[in-house]
Amino acid sequence: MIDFTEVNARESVDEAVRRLVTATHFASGSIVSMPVTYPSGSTVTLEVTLQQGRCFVSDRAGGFQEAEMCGATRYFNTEATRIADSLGIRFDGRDMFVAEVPAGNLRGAMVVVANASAEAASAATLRAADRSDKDASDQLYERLATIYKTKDVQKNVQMVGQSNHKWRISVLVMDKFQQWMFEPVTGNYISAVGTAAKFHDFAGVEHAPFRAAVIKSREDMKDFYGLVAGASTKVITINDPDETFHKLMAAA
Amino acid sequence: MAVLPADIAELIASEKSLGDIPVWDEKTDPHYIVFTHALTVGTVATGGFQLRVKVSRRWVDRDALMQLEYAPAGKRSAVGLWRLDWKPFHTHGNKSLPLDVAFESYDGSHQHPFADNFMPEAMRMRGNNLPRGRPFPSDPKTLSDFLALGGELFKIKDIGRISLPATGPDIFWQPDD
Repeated sequence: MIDFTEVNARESVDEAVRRLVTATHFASGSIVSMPVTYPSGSTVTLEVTLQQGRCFVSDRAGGFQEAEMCGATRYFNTEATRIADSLGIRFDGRDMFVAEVPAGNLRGAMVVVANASAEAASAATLRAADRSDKDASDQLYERLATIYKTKDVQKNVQMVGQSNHKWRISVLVMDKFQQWMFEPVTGNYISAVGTAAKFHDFAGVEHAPFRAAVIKSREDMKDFYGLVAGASTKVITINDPDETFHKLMAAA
Repeated sequence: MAVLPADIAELIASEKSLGDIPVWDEKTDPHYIVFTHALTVGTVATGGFQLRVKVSRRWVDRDALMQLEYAPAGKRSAVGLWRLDWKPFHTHGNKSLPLDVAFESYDGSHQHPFADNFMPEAMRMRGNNLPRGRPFPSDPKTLSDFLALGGELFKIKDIGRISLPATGPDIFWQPDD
């Protein structure tokens, strides 16, 4: 690589590449930091031991710990079991590992275990975030039930959109004449894209219901704000005063 | 992710206390000796506001962590608030933010500070388990020093109540020089 500055680019690249994978050796085995990361940004570290020419490769329960630190161990157990089964490796409730790998196949085994551990932790973290949306849904229901005392307020209502797909509406407020849908939505991909798809599907029905996206803040939505706003009748924040919610209803 | 208490930033900034001596759990985790312990501010405890400590079974001179967290009753999810990783084997890599430590990689001790990972406008922690890291102000040489640093950063005035678990290093996992 040609570099016209004083910095030697080739050395910089070589140094970066050298440090992508590091191994620390002990009497009983080695700990290897792999260039694969968990959601937090921590690299996956593997424990490799060798006995009679066969290797044992474990993630040292690193995926479990990543999930544990954000309260997602329950989801991790499910995801790690699923991923281990699909890849033909093992999961004992904490560690993901392969046993009895010929030394010549060690590199491939390390790649598989590292990626399996990261994938299970990522899936568990995503599911924990989805659980957070459900908590937000309960909170929103309690708030709306207090604000709209004279109307029928229901949660987790199934409704059919223009596509004939059945959607779960987090909170539905109704009177004799009209329906108002409320969905808590965050800047999380699944939450934002799911809400936008749901609202688009109801925008196309005859007598389209009022669709309110309830967000934590404009900043929280990042660049998903426009996507959700485009599908919603109104976007409001959960901390808006009761008066804002009443005006919303009156204007519909 | 559970909704955080409205005064979470004040709790983090306040002087805290363990109150009594944490008890190590030496059975549950095959890799670590651990405890979680409720923290009090003054005489008041906020349910679920706690300290988690994990120290290695194999090594006494590395691989430990301390985390402030919020684990409300009735919720399945605990929320990490501020984590310290002491001489871990993993490397932590930042993404493009915060700007002053963008794309930094920490091969050794580092922390995931509350201030970098809290979103006050949304009253929640950033997704993905405290993704923003920084180095320690100083790197402790011993586990006792690490616990003391944790007490200082987390403002736990009686951190000295923690007695070290009665384990020695695993002779099979000493450096192979």
